[in-house]
Amino acid sequence: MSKQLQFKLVLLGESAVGKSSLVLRFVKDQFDDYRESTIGAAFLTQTVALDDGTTVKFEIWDTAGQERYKSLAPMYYRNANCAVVVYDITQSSSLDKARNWIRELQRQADPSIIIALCGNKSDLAARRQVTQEEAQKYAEEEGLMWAETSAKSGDGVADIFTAIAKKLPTTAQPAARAGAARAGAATGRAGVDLNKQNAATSNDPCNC
Amino acid sequence: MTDRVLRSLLRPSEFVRVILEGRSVPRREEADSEAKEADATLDEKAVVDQGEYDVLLAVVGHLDKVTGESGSVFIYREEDPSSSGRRTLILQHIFPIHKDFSLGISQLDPQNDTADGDVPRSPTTTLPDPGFSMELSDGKSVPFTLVTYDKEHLSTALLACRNLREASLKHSSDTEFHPWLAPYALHPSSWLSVIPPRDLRYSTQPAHHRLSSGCAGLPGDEIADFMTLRDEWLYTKAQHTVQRDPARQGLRVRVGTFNVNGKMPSQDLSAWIGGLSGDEQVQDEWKHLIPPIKEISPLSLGESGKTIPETGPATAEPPIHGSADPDLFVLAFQELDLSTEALLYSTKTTRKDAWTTAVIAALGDKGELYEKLASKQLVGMFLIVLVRKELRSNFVGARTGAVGAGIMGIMGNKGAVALRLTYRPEPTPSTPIPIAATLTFVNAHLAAFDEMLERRNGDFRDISRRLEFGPCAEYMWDSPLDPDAPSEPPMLNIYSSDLLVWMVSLPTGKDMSQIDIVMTCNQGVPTLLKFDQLKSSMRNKKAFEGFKEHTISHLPTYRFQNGILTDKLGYDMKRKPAWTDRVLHMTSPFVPVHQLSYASHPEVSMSDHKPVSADFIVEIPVVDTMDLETVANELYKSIASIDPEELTDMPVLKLDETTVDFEKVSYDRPTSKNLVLRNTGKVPAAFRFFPREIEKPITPEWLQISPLAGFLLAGEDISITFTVHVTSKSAATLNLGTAKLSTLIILHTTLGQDLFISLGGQYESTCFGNSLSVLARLPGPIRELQGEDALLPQAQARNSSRELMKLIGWLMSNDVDAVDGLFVTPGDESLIAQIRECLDTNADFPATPEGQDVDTNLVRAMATALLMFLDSLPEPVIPSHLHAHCAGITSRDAAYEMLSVFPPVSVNVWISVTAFLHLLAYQAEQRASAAETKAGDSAEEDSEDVRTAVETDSTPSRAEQLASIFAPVLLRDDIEAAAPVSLVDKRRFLLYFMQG
Repeated sequence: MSKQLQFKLVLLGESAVGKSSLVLRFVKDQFDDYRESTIGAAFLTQTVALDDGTTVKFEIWDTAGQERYKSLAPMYYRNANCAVVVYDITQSSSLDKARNWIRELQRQADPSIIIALCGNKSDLAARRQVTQEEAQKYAEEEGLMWAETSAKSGDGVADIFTAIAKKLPTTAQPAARAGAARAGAATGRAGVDLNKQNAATSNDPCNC
Repeated sequence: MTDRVLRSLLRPSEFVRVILEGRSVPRREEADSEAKEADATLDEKAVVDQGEYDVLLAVVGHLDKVTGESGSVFIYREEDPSSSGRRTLILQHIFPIHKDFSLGISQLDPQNDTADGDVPRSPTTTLPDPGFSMELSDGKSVPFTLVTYDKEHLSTALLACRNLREASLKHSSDTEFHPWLAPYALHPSSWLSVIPPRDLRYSTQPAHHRLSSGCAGLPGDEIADFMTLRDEWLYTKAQHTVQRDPARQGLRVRVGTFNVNGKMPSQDLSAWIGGLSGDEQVQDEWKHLIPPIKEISPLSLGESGKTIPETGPATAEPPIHGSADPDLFVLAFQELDLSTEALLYSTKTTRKDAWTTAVIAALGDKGELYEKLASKQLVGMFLIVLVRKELRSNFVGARTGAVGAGIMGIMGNKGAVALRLTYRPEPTPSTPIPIAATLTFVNAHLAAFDEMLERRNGDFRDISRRLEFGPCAEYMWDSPLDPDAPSEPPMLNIYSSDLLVWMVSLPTGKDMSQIDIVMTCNQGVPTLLKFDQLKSSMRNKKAFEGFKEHTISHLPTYRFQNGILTDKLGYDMKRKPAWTDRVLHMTSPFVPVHQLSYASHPEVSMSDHKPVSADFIVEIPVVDTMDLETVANELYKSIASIDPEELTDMPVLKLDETTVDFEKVSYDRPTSKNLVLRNTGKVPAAFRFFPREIEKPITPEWLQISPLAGFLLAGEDISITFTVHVTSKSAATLNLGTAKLSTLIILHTTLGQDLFISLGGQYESTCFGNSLSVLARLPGPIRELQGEDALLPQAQARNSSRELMKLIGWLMSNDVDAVDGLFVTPGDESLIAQIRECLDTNADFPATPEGQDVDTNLVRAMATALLMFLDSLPEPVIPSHLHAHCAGITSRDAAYEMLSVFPPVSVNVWISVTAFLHLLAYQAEQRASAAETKAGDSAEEDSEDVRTAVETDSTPSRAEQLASIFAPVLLRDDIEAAAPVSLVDKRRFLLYFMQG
């Protein structure tokens, strides 16, 4: 019997490392050469089918990478089951930013959160500033998943999300609540009904 | 029965010529002629079973003043009454009767009649009466055939159709759909004009209050929010479109409320009822419309409306009926009958009749211009409406309601009666079927006694909920916005109206604040209330939320007594006077209401209450039903196919800018900026602003956003206004630089992404809104302060605020007392801002040219600045926890002993301010006595404009006036405090320091 599980995933990382492109590749298998900088937080969903018949539905929050929006990030990674922290292999400074995000997640996010470190723009290996060894070593020390991807070519994108899906607990009740209202999964439904009740009471014009 | 059901499905402008019952005959795909021969093969039988149903054919006419009469045949499908328990008709076909309309009739051959079907026909098949087959066609769509045995109505129907066809040929030869049919043809269930008026609590409250709770990263019920915002959009957009600039008919309504204390009418009521003769003041107010009410006091019971009379310029008058006499009198009586039996039986009509007679008598000669429109009584509560005779026919369908809230919660000694009137404006050529406006009037008598405050608020809520009208069959259509709503005649509550007026009597005893107001009114110094009104409107939203009440400028209406101990105004000394008789109203944004007067009538002295009256002009928009329907249907079509659960594309909204820079922001100077939000996606989108955490505020204290939620079709845009307004509530931290004027705001696209907006500005620190202890530690002007750390250490603190000293110093060194209305007339805002800037930067005040008298405006601005400065202190000069103690002090010595309890900074400020006030009072006395000796015997003539005994008998001294202004500022009420300390006692405390 196949199971459907639902998890909340948040993308973090410096501006212009390719978070939105990574999601676009994963969700729609598309790539835009010129993407506007994300000023906000986009919500998308994508389902991954595992070999054992389990399907994992990711509710993905793609957040703005710009420094000035940093204070809003906690709103999006709270309750997240997994986080993909992205850096750009052609910008060594972006790995430093990634380290900061990882420290923050380890300190403030749900302790059971699964963190994947993702070196994007592997198609630009010629301009590489971050070696695979350096990143991999760091990931091992911190107990993170790690991979290099190219949103442009698609290399490694599906793999990293599938790897996360495999690593997520298949028995535990997912903590994700966000977006439950639009999710069809049974796990999300309780949230819907609760909300509906809330909405019904607040709809009552008589606050008596 | 059929007739009644059918009429309820038609608009009032339509009339039914004839109704005919029958049964539909399904059409075959093959040639029509063959089908009629009805050779009942098995295959055909199957088709017949599918398409046969009971029908009701109605020939409906419509009279239009321009195009004359036109008609149409409506075919209704009858639902089986056994399934739903009542008769349901569903409109199936419309055949407009025009040039190409045809109605063919043929007699059925009795032999071939398929009598084995359940065709409704005469009871037995032996009757010779055969059925008829009717075929209807409009020349375009597929003809419709039905079988009927109703021979009698058949000929009438034929005749009616022929007449209507001829009538339509006379006016036009085209075969267009008659315009009046459009709403029937489109979405009959989406009619805005036949759904009940919207709940006023909805229409007066922005939509974001009705959304699910959610926050950034944790959206709530997205689908429900989408629907809520969509429906709000549909409703308001349709109304706004048709009401862009509607003609309006002004309806003059005079409302009165009188708690008669069980008395029979023994006095002339004309002062209260009329205002028709002699009452100059009211006549005058009729002529000059008071501008739209600015001061809104959501009456919190036990709190009196703390507003000041506005004496603004008269605005343009709306178009109103020629005469100034009211079109409608709505009079509410309470305690009509106090006898015990009245609680149980209210069969006697003597009292009611006596009061009705007294009311009509009070109208004098004009009495014959009016007639009774409706009335309702429940024990002691009686509500009666008189209407100007020529408008009688415009009022349709008056409904009444009553609910007891007295003993056991149901007895009628307390409670409310209500009348719901529907006013249909006079049709005009451009608006042949004007939409009616609904006016609801409630007469409520709530629980007495002080300790009953909670009970009274509970009664209010209870009455609000239980007072209903109906069932209202005129609203038979389901709401398009709620397809699940049961389609039976609804019960409507009092809020389902365009205007709701509450006349309420709420006897009270000893509310602290009330006597204070008496004093204030007595002294003609109501200005001080200005400093309280914000708080009073914030306090206690437990009852009458959303209602407006006009400024009260009359004396309390309770409690008066003859023969017992009374004060010089006739108030019962044992009961503190109070405004117990009130008129409040609530109105739809589409039906503007102006209140012209709000007065009590002390001439009527028979009761322990005084009667109160209020005059309104209700500006009823004249909008044609058809216009609204057409617009609503168009709008409905644009969204009807959008199912938020099955969106094909993600909603996408874009802002033209993602940062808003307010640049320089000054204290108490609101500035606004707009952003344009555009729907760049392919589907409609709803949006709302999100807080960071559930149930937390969306914006910081200093920022307001409007609107906070909305709905946009693809390609549409909306302007969102961001307003920065730093008040004393947010200034303290901003002044010290501990908080920055900068924030990130989250705009959430329902079912889509969040957009971030960063807002900020350069805040100009000010001395306003800081605590006295901070002000005393400022090393220099606050504008130069480099953060909290730059404050002087406590040990080096000054003994007072330098800014305050500068203000007082200026006021004491200029001859300010000569200025009329000092501290009462508010100063010019830009001058005040200029003064504040001087204090903040330690610049010199605007100078008065050598040898000239100091500018009156500057003096007023300085005086107002002083009051505003004191009022802006986060903690009043005398800390709140000491107020009760101060109020209890009854001797000068004890008052001075209190100084040792005050914080040191407070002591110095207190002494400086009171010394200044003392000087002002002293100067006034000197001048008064000088004037007295000078004026001598010529004084008599000047004082003839004495209007009431009130003002002459108790003109307060200058010291008392000043104390009344400063006490509520220096000892400002704590909003959170359970029981406010009496203003009178505070004032007495202040006076000890002002008198020598």
